[in-house]
Amino acid sequence: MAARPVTTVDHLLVETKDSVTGGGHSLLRDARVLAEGGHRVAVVLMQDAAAGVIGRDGARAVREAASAGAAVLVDGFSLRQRAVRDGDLPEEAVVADADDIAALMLVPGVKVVWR
Amino acid sequence: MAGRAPGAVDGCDLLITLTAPPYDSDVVTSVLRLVDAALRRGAKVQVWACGYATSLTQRTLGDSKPPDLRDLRAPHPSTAAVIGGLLAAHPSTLTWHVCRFCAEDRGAADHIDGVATRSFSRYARYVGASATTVYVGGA
Repeated sequence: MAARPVTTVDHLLVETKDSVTGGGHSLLRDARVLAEGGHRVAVVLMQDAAAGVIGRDGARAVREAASAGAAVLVDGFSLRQRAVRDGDLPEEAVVADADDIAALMLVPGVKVVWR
Repeated sequence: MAGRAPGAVDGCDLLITLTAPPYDSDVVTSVLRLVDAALRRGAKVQVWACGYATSLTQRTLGDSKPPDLRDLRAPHPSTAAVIGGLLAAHPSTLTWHVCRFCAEDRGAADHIDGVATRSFSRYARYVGASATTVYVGGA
């Protein structure tokens, strides 16, 4: 079953780097911890991070965050820029566009971290 | 009638503080896409450009980038042209601030119309007046 788009969050974590460019999956782990603590949290994977979850380690990090209750969104534009197909993503990830991400940034009271 | 308090600044729904260098990654594309999307949603948006991000709105950039030799006819607007277009399309809801210290330190003193050069001493006031602040760092 495809994951549903998220519309409201307390924490929005934006990851732009992959394990090669200095990111890794630590924000996905942070999202998992926040979700386990009862917070509404979404992770957005943009730029290099969008393609960083098609491997085994990235897919596992996405699954763990999602199973804890975090929403995992992947920027479709960043995927296309890197010739990655939506179908190569873990099924727990939701492909999003700029409007979806902007909407989350405009949620009243949301705390945003961008890396 | 009560006047505006001294030093008061306009608030906004979303303040993006952009210090990431423009040519290190596709971060500027990401930020401009999100600014455009937020404005289309009717939000009041401000961008505070620091570090090398102050170069994005230099008047000397002109309207277009140098031609792409693989496709000479393809238009490639400069960042100044893209930001100028956003400012023209959303004159009452978009403000683009440039940190004066960072700009002068990099020789980026002349900016396109509509861009406001500000002292960094005012930055905290804009953060305080924004509903949400996003720091896009990496200077």
